[in-house]
Amino acid sequence: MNVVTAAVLGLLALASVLCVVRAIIPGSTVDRAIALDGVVSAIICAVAVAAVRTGNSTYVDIALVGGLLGFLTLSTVARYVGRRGQ
Amino acid sequence: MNTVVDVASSVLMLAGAVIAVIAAFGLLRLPDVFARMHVATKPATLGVTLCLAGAALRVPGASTATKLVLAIVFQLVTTPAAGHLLGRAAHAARAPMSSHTVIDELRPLPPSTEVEPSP
Repeated sequence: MNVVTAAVLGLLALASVLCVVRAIIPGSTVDRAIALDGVVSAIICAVAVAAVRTGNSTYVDIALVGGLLGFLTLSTVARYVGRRGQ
Repeated sequence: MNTVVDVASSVLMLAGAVIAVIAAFGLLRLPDVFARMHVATKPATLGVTLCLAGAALRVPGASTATKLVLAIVFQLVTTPAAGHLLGRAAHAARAPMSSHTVIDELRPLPPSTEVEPSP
C-alpha cells in the first residue's frame, strides 16, 4: 500500500511541476490562473493520499478547505479579468 | 475483503493521479485559452473525485470518509461554475482563439441578422 501511495504522490508532483511550468512560461492571466488551479487540485488529491499514507485523519480537513479556496480564487480572477476586458 | 478494498482504493487513486498528469500535459500542449480551460477542469472534477474516493475507502473512521465525500460533492458543484465564470471572462477579454475553432456561440451578432423589434 505504501508503494501505491508513493507512486500516486510522485505522479501528482509531476502534474504540479508541469502546471507550474505552464504558469511560468508567457501566457494570459487566465492561463496562469487555470494552471495554478491545476496545482490546487493536485494538492487536494495529495493531501487525501497523505491521510491514507499516515493514517492521520486531520489531513482530510485540509482537502475540504483546499476545495473552498480554489473556487474562491478562480471566481475572483474571473471577475478581475472580465471587468478589465470590458 | 480487506484486499478487495485495498485494490479498489489503489486503482482509484492511481487513476486520479494519471488523469492529473495527462491534464497537465494538455495544459502545456493545447493551442488556446478555451481548450486549456477545457482540459484543466478534468483533473479538478474527475481526478479529484477518483483520488478522494480511493482515499475514502482507506481512511480510518466513518466520519473521515464522510468528510471526503463532502469534499467530492463540493468539488463537483464548484468546479464547473468556476470554469464557466472564467470562460466568460476570457471571452469578454477577447482571448485569442485557435484557428481550429469551429463555432463561437458568444460572438456578437452581425447587424443584418439582428431580430427586428416588434411594433
